[in-house]
Amino acid sequence: MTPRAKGGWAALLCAFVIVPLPAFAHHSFAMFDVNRTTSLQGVVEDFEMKNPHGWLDLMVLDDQGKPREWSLETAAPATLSRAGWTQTTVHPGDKVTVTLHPMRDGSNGGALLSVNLPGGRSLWAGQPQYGRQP
Amino acid sequence: MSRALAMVLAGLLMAPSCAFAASWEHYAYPDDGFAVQAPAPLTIAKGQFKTPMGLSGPQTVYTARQDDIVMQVTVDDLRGTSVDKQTALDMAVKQLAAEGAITLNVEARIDAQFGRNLTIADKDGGRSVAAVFFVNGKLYELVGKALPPDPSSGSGKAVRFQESLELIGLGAEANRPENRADGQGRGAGGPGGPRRGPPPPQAFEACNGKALGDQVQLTTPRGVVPASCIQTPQGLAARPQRPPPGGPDGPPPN
Repeated sequence: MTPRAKGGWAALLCAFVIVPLPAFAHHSFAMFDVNRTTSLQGVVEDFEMKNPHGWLDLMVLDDQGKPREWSLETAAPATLSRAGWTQTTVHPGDKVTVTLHPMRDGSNGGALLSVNLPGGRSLWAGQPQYGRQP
Repeated sequence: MSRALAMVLAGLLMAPSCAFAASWEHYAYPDDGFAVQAPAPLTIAKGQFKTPMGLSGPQTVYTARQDDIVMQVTVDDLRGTSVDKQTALDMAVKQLAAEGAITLNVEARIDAQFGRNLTIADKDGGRSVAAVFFVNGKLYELVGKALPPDPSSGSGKAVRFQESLELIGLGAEANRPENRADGQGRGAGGPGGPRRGPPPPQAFEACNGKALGDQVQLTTPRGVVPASCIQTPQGLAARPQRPPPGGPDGPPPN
């Protein structure tokens, strides 16, 4: 086999190995509306960097000014770590702006895409971004 | 109203809930091959299920409640029947439909297992999200119900419960430390997997008189290791914080 042919086979193998990875996360994204990306401003209630997924809980004011708790799912801790997250990246009481794929059923939840921290730093939350930015 | 005043009011409204935010923990139930995250250990009730088709068998119901949500996983053991996967899933969806109007019903996947995710506008004014899976003869029906009169309030937590479901004992996820009650055994019991026993006696002894989350020292076949007290179906037991040295996932022994 020529070096060029070997390279071709290697590329094909990589494609098979790499492409299915997002689809084989712990669970499917069936409940998230991956065609919509929205943003929220809120106050951090809790952040847990746990397997198989982390969670960021925010208190957000709804249209009537009533506080609503939102639970946003992040990627796995290992992926978050690679994106620069640590257990102490966000703290209860932090005011943050997040982008997310919302739930398809209108529940106060979603797949967290990114967070803008109080100091202006922005972090990706490890989820595949299927949709367009708002 | 000025913007500053609005922000102060918002802060006051949010402060109490920040103070009382409960931490969610990972709870594994290897005997029934699943794990979830919840704000409290799930209580376990054993009984029998009966279907309109005349089928019956062992049923285990796992329940937790927090403020405005109820979290429940029902495991029907259909191994003594000839029910196939599609029939079992249809049966579960029909049962959920009896609770209200299904507003979302989509295919769902956990690892390599396929089932359904549903949202139900409950007859009582609540809203439920559900996950239904059928694995190796067991029907798993998870429901996170946001209670009336304001189901929107608990809907995020209900989703969190729904999305946390893991089917353990089917692959590598069974060997994650959080899914091993004793933190060291390979191959958990659960759907299709070899049956595992409860944590070893020393795991219970280490947590005797301790509280959930307390740090203790656990004696394992490979030495004494730091451990945390976790809730298992058999009671509070110590789980190593790291795999024991020389263990399947741990560092080499010194």
